[in-house]
Amino acid sequence: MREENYLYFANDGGNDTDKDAAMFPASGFRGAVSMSSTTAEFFFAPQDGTGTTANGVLLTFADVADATGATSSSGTGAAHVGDGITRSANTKLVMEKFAQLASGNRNNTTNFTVIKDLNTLPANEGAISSSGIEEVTAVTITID
Amino acid sequence: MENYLYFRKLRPVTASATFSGSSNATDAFSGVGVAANLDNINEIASLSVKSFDGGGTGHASILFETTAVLPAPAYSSTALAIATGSIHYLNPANQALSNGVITLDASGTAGGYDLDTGDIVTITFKQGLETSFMYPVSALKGMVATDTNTTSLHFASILGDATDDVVTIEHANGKFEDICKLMNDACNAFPRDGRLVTVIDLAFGETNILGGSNPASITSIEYAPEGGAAGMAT
Repeated sequence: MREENYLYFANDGGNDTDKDAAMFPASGFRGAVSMSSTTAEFFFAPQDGTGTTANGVLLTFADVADATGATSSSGTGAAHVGDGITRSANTKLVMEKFAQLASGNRNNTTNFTVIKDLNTLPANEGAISSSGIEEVTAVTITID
Repeated sequence: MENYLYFRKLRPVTASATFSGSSNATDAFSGVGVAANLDNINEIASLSVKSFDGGGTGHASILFETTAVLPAPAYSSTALAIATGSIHYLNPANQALSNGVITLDASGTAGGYDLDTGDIVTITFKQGLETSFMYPVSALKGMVATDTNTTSLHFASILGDATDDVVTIEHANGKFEDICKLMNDACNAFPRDGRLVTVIDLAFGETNILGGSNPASITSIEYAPEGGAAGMAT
């Protein structure tokens, strides 16, 4: 596709084993779902052409502390707020950044878009251009 | 360039349920949307039991926090005597959640607790499996009024099978047209760049609808991706 955006993912390996890295066209993106308070999986049309088994990229990020009701008192039990609550703001933030990157194709650019590159190649062979979404700490690529 | 539609399920900050006396399972929690869709313990941030009259029994390892608990509860290892009105924190990971009902591990199991009639179980929520999700606008296949106060959005399956992923919106009677306008606005916003558009976000007891107002009086959304729990990495 003309001016298609291509989305690049790489885990913290050396791009030397199966599924260390993958790239998908933005048009192959099918959706994303929260998996937990620290993970969300992004789904793409499969590269094997079957069209029936999605490829997934699980992105991991930190929980975000929510100061609301964050206090907890002594060990009497009675006054514990018991919140442990987090709005998991990084889930939406990562989705927002993905959306910006995936739809950021423009004329006269390469349209090569690093969503996250965690590879451990030497510095002079490291991240191709940008390291991508800074909140992401791990990338797991599933291609069946 | 296209927009991406973001939704987050109805979840309050906290919810409580009483134990009425059956199989160590709470009564159903209310205010959490359709009970059948509250199934994943990983969206429970913390779980406490308030003893009604001191009659419950806790495993010796029953835990409670001694410090701030964010972003995840840090449980101490100190047991706490059960007495009338005492509050005991249990690790949610040790318990089971199904159809809006929590069943506690028995007191003979580490982290377990035998509930007594009248005990109140309180849970707090965090982001969990399928509590929020996004689809590209191009995945929207259509929408249909399934009754006077329910509209279903159909998206192409996230996993790629023939069965659509369905987002069900509960709203005031006769508001299907308002839902259509909402979706039209979401899909066609930012025509020159494309962004994540928050369509409906009902987390933490708040009502955040695109546009700021809520003319359709949306009260909840349910999400049923193809095959139930989505995800390939889990």
